[in-house]
Amino acid sequence: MMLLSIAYRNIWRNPVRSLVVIGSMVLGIWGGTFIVGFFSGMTQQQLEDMLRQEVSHVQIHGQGFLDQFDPTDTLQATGALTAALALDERVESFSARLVGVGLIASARLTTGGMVVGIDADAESAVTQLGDRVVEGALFATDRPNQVVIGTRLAERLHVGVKNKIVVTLPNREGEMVSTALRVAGIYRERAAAKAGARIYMPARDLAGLMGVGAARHEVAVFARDLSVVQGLAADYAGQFGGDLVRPWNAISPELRLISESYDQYVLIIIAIILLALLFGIVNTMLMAVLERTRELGVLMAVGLTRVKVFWMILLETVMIGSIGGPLGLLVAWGTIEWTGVNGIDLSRYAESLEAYGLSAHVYPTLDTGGYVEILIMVVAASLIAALFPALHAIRLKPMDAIRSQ
Amino acid sequence: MNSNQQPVITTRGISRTYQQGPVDVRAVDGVDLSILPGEFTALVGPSGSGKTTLLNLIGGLDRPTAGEVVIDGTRLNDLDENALIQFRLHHIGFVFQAYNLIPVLSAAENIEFIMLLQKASAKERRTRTQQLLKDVGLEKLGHARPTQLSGGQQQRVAVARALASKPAFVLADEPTANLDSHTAESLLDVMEQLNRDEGMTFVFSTHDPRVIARARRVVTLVDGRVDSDEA
Repeated sequence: MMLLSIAYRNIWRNPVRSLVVIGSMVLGIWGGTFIVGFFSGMTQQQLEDMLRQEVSHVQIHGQGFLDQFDPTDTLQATGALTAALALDERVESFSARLVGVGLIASARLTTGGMVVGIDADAESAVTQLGDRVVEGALFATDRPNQVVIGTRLAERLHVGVKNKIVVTLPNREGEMVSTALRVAGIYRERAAAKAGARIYMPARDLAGLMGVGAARHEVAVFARDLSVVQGLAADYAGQFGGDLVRPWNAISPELRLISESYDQYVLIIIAIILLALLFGIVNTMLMAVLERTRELGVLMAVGLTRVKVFWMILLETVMIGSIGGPLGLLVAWGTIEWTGVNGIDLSRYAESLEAYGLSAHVYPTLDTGGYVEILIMVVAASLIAALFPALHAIRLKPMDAIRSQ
Repeated sequence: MNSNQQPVITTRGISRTYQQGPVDVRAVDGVDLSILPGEFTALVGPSGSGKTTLLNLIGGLDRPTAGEVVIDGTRLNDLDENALIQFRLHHIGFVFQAYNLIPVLSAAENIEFIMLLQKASAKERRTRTQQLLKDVGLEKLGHARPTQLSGGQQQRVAVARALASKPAFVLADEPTANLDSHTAESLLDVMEQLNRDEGMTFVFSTHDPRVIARARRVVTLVDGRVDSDEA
């Protein structure tokens, strides 16, 4: 108990020095944690946007469909699959689609593209397509042969809402079929979306055109929680073995890379901060030990064992860490919470950010686990930092230490 | 001196040689010494005569390069570092020239700290601390930090601290060197009284003629050897 008391009093022997080291810890941890939160917010948004608008959590395709986009490679049991998904509590929403690859033509230009047949409400629930329509509406009327196209394609084709485009694609017999579609709406594409046109039309119209009836080529599934996705994919892969079931990380290596590199960025940031912290603490504690060489010599001369001297120095360091660490985390938590609600406006760099699929408004976020991890690492760094000064202290010879100036 | 008593300190042919560059310096050179319980002994001699080195060897703070030191029947040569620390804690009291109190502890806490290391009970620590503060005439200054005490008062606390562990003897290295003559006399009064009333053995190194005059045995060292030993 007295060791604890001595350690505590030793910290306040030189209050300016202790406050400087505590202050630098607070600043370092605050800055580091906030950057981690900023990165986390930015990456999560990027992941969520890509998952929501393009990839979804799970995609199920007819076996072999992705190799040739053959209209006959439909899901083996579309009805059973959609019925199972509708009842699955883990599933937030799903969209069964028809997909054809063909030519999209306007009076101005003909280009290759993907024609996706959807149920408008189901698709909007999964990809928020309806929310992204910036002109016109998503199949606003019951009229047949409506289409929604992306802004970039609209620009290239020189068409606007109510204009017509012609789609030509193979049907299930392998014959090329064509239809004229009226542009009902134009949706905003993600700036970083993969190149290539993607247009949406009612599934029933496309089914008629392709002659596939009620069958569908793919189902995009959005789960209630990212953590259940792998299990969900595995279950459906088992249940519908004839189809190709893939979770998001198998579908998009790009997304997996973003997710994994986020962890690496965080580790690097934390490592740099902890390294700086570590040297700061080593410097301070070593100075404190060197200043007290004679006193440590006396303590060892009168009977304080080396183990206790070691603990005393360790305690002092941990005390400094336990003031600076939580305080830094508290300030960081406050900053992340505030900016997490109000956002950080980076619209000045919107163009560059959007080119990388990043939002111009970043909402930092960090879960409790993140704070706990940083706290554990700070405590560990403090202990490691204490080792060198503590080892220096116990190597002192009492006789020499007492005679030192 | 009672010749039937077992010596509390015995050194047999102890030497301590230091390497100073290419030269071997023999700070203590074959000293044989016996100190009996209750002695009030001064080690005297010019600077560099080996007084402090001899005290360090007797106190187990340094190890002899030859010979042996026996304290209270224990041969210090046989103890490892940790055992030596424990031995010092229970058998030897130290008073240093520069007081060397722990600055973050009060006078009372400095005294109590030693008993705490000995794992004495809280009640025993409190009672003994108060008694020792009274013995050295500082009963009203137990709460004061070393920086709030004069040099003489700090050295009295150091004496009380040295006695806290109920040691076999107290080693004092130039205890009056930093004190004015009045304070030095006053400190010597305290040490003499403890020696007389409680039979505490004191061995101190000194240059101070007034201190030497109060010692009951004076061992003079010259060039690391005992030049004279007068009771």
